[in-house]
Amino acid sequence: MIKPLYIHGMAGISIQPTTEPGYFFDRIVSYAQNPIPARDPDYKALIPPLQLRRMNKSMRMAIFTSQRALQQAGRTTIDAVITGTGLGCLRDSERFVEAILADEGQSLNPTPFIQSTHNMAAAAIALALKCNGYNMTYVNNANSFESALLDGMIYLSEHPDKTILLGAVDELGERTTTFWDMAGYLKRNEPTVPTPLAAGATTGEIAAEGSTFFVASQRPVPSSLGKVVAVETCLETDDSTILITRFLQKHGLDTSAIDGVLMGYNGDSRYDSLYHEVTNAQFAGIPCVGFKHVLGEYDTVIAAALALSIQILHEQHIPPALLVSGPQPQQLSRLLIYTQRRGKNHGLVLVER
Amino acid sequence: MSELTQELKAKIIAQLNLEDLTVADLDDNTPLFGDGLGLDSIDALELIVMLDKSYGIKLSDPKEGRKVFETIQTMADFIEANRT
Repeated sequence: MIKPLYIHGMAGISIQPTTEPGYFFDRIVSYAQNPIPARDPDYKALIPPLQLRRMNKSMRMAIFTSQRALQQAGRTTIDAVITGTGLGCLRDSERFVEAILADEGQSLNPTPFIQSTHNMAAAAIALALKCNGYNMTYVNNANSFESALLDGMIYLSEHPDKTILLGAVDELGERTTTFWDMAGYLKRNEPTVPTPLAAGATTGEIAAEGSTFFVASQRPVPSSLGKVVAVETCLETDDSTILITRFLQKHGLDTSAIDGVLMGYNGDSRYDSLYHEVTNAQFAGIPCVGFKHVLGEYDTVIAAALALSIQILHEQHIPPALLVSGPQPQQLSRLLIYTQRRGKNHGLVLVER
Repeated sequence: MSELTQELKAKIIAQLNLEDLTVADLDDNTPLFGDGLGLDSIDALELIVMLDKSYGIKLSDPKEGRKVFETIQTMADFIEANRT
């Protein structure tokens, strides 16, 4: 039996100023570009310069946010590191492949090769913390973080005395973004953040990047921020409402038990109708919260949604800029996160105070 | 020779991402490894690739590398003697 996972510390880097103390989406930074790189904090404040100089952006973001999460949880050590990433250290992967092409396989620089693997962030965190314990990275497209989250819950069920670092990171790559654009994934027509939703939505998504990390265990403490009760993924479904109903039923709930829903609206008119259908069929009158219209789209953005849901439960209100529909609630005890990417990789996370 | 050492310093700073250093901070005779700049084995590999790509010099003997990469000056001397 998988038990709830309690969160004791968390931190995130995104295209919004989420590293600023107390930031709760009260001020939304606007953009008129696509893709959008994450806002760099002062990495040197938490990462020694000699280590920092060789790290690519996803490693920097992962180390910084994991250190911040540990600080909030009041810890300096950890028993395991579990991460999720859709595309890993993309820039070094691109540099490595480009060098193979340019030099015809001769004299390849070692650093991009070493750092082109998807598990570099988890490895760098373990090295920084001298953590010899369980170290796992999940690479499952837009369900990568959910897989890491599920593994974290299973790991803690088997090791109830342990505390883990759980997180996700994805970075933009120049070549890959060009390929996405050629494939028609990206929004070309007036790409803006906040991205217009509903009637203002157009085709394409806003590509972004970010990192979010959590310190978690199975034991609640007075300073615990919230808990993850359940997580589920589904590669493809014909009917999202059935997926959600079954998920809730499995945990003895129905839609009336949900105080708010975080939906993955990203302003792509081709796929946002999925969320409209779910909202109208199952969550009419219940607060619906958006996050991708201010954070952009990347494979593990659901980790940032989890951090947002924990913040909402703690603050007991929804930032007005994120309220897509429904009323501002009186009380918030249980939130559901539902997201998908390009019609696939559906993810559900149930979060409670 | 001075021109080459200046060029080498700029290349090393760029190649090894020594973000906090400028060309003016590097002395020709500062040890690159150990107590000097504190470079490590991955940096040594990066320097070998740099010698090959920028100056057409292939280093195959590791013992030779230890002497060549002692300082900026020893690197410049080696390049002057061997560049193609």
